[in-house]
Amino acid sequence: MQEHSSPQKRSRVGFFEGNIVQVSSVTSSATIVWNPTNSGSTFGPLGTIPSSTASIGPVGIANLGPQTIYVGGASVTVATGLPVPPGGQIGIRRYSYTPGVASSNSGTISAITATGTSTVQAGVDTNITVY
Amino acid sequence: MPLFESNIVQINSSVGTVSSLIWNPENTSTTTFGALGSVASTATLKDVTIMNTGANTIYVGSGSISAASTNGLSIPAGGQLTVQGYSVVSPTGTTGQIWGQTGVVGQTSSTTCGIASVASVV
Repeated sequence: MQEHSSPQKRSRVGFFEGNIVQVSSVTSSATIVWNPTNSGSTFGPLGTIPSSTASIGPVGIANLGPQTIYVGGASVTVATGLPVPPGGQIGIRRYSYTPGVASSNSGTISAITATGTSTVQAGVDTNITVY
Repeated sequence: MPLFESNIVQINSSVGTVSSLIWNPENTSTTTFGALGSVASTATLKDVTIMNTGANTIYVGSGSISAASTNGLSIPAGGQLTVQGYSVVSPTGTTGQIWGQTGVVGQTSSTTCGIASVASVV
């Protein structure tokens, strides 16, 4: 069977910049997996990143499994989200938000599972900065 | 800028307010985008990349994302999204499809979707 994919080695794990990783357990209810607000709410401050940082991005989301997750905005559903299988990841280039300015929903990314719980890492992905 | 495998690129030059199909891996379909070039219908398509080549933010997802845009994933103008782990073989119907919209009346954008041979360099 023919297979079309990248011929070179690729990582299935994001290379996140230090202290800019948020880990969450995604369930069958929409869950915020990435919140760029450096406010201390939800995930706590983004490590040692000062709120005056001009911008953070690009963002990567890694699904550590064991369930498929569906990624989208705050109202994401299984029917509408972008599916990411266990072990898969998403990289969004040009994503950029200013931590100290982003409002409660601005720049947030949410995910949901059809059933069960999956562990998700989200952060500033150094892997996808290279193209 | 990704390097797409030849014949595995689909362009939607008019992504508008309401969601429209931007990636259809069904190789036997001649609707919307036509067949995927010379790619065999039995081929495995992996790791899809979506480029927002237009001037406005788009929201992407599967199925019919709502006009509110809050259930889609945003890609800013000039941005790009790669789903590593995406894998479909001989999909039919809506399987593996990706949809996009601007969600804002009067705003349009354009997308280029495909299987990138160089999506991320490690």
